[in-house]
Amino acid sequence: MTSPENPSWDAVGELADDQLDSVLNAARDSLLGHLKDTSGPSSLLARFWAVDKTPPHSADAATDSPAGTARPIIAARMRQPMLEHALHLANALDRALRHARHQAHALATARRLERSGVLTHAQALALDLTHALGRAEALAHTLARAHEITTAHGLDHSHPLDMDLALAHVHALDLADALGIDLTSELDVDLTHAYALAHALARDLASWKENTVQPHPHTQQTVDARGIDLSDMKIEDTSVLARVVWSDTTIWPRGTYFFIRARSRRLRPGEYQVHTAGGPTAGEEPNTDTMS
Amino acid sequence: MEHNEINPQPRGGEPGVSSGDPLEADSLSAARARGEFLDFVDLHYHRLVGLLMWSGAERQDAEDAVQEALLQGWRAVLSGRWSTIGNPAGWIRRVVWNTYRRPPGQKRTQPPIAHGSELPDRPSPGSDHAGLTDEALLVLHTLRRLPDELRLIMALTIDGATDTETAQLLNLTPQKVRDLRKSARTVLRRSLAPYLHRKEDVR
Repeated sequence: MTSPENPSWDAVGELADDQLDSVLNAARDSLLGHLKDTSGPSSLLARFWAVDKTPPHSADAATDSPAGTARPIIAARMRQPMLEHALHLANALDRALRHARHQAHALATARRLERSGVLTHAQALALDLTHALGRAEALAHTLARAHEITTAHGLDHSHPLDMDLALAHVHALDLADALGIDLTSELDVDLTHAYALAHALARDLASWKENTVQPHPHTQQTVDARGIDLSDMKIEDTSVLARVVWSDTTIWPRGTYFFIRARSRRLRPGEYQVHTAGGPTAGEEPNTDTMS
Repeated sequence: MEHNEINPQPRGGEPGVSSGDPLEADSLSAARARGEFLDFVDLHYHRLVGLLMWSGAERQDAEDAVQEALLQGWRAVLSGRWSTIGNPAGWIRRVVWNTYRRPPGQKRTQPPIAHGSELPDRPSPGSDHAGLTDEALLVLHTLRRLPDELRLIMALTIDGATDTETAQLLNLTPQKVRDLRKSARTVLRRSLAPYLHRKEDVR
């Protein structure tokens, strides 16, 4: 099977048997290692004990569930992408204002020396400030929505992080006001103030993310929403429901039941779990194979 | 060794000193069977998931099927039938196989929820295959392009199944298994060669 020129290959580029075995063994070891690193039978063991104790499925089982945790966790998931977006905006704003300051310095220099580039610099600066203002308004809007979720869904207002969120919203509004800069005014002072605000916002949001998102990977958590009334939650993206266990007695917002049902698998009679990812999208038929 | 009344039998170990009470002996025997089964789960869980993935299953489906099969094994332990199974590894492989290949529409028993526990294992972040080596991805991809019978034989071969075990699972003769494996290996030798060739060139 091997050629005289290259003992590893025959004339048509075919692997030798030992090479194939080597590739297959390496692939097997890689997959096994990957599986061991990313999953395990620990949750299965919990089910073993459940079978051993043969707990009867009672109608009131849902009432024993940690009802106080499902809503805050789902709400926290709902605002997480907003805060990610806010952080992105704050960083972009930070960069935009830094650039605007350079333009302002160039403009001031051009004015002082009465150079012909005054108009060009002024236009570039005006464009930068317009972009920065748009981002600041979007940031304020995003933070307002995240704050609304805190208000609407019973997250803990008194938590320092949520107070920081409220403060960040106020700062973003201040920043939007500060960016209404008149190009004939004291540009340096105004821009320095705006830049300081944007920088503080970016820093605060990064810190917020570090303190909330990283230690609490809510999306990897199984959430027990059996028997809970979630009818007042504005669920626009079902990914926030990943791994939520629910029951026939869970009350969903109007118009969402069939979509959520289609993205869930049946665990046992009357109980379901929302898929972690993928699954049918809106408008598709439920997968009856996994439900029956 | 200090006697532990709550858990008299260390997992998978030898039973403690019996007082001669038949009830206690039964209890110790049951504890030993459970411990041995848990060791069995530790040993085989990932291999079984891998076997189904080599066979073409998506990871989540593979894990579901393996968990369901192991739950059947646990029920066999609880009912005392597990100790009567001559070849547990072969048995569980067959149950996993049957569970995964059950025709659509047949009811698959879902494991019950252990109340208050984490269920099921956390999802794979993003792609199921993130973190795999090039070799593993390539072999997975190449196997999925093989005809069913060849792919299943290669999956079982990678898992270490004997010709006889493979033949029993697939309702073939051992000779037919060997013939088909030879064909599969020929396809793989040719399909994988360009990749390895490029890798050698890079070096």
